[in-house]
Amino acid sequence: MSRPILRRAPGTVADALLVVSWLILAAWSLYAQPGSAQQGPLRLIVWSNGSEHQVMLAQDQLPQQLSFEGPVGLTIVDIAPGKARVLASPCSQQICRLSGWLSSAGDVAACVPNRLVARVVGRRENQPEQIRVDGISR
Amino acid sequence: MTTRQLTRLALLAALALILFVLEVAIPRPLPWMKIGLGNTAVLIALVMFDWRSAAAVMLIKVLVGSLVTGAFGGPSFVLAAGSSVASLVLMATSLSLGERWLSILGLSVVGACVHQVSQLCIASVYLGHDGLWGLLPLFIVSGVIAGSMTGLVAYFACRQLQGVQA
Repeated sequence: MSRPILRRAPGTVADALLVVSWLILAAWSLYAQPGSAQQGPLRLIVWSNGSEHQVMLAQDQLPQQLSFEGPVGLTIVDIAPGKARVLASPCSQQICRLSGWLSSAGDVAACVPNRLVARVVGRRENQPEQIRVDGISR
Repeated sequence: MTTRQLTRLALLAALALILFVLEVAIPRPLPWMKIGLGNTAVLIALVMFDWRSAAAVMLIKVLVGSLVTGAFGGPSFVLAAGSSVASLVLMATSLSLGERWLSILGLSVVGACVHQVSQLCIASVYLGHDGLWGLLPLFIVSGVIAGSMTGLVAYFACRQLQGVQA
């Protein structure tokens, strides 16, 4: 019953190497993101049930609500000046709605049961083109 | 398997199920981020018994847990079941290959990170789109943090359980 792993205190060299390897993979995937995500004006791309829709997220954008039909029902996406969010969803876990406002490139709200992904890409007006690490801080 | 072992395994399965269901009520820093407390019991079963016992605990956790939370049969169930199986397979493989070097914490980090990555894989296949892969760095970092937490809990639980055993 008393295997070596049960006697060994956490924090071995192998543990540290494993953690570092995973963190290297995370850092690599951060910089391997497609560069196109930073190009063009700030906009929301919604992939819903196999089709793609784009909406501009300009500061003078008129508020509107879009609805997307999915396998579970209607997902309502709320568009406001410079930001967007999932307002209502028929799914059980509500992870998409709880993701809140999406306003920076890289912000994502997804509803797996209703087959919908909403992602912000592009740059806000008057914003220099650079890698914006805070874009993934949501 | 002795009656004592069977009883202990049944208690672990009950613990995994309770933690799986209770975790829904714990506030999350991000809506899709979970600590994976139920995995603590699977981890304990893996290191104190064997992979078959861990698989039994994991199956009970996922099957009964999704029946209780109402997710059974839906995409959320496929996500939870698929990533739990992938996580256990990799943890069992890491244990058999790296038992000389790894601690329970390292094993737990492997399980948590594999769980996260396989969730992204399954979700991307179901969605038919790779729009979620931008979340990979956050998924891995949260996996490392959550895996370390559950690994530490499992380590201290195993120490106590061994004391009871003696």
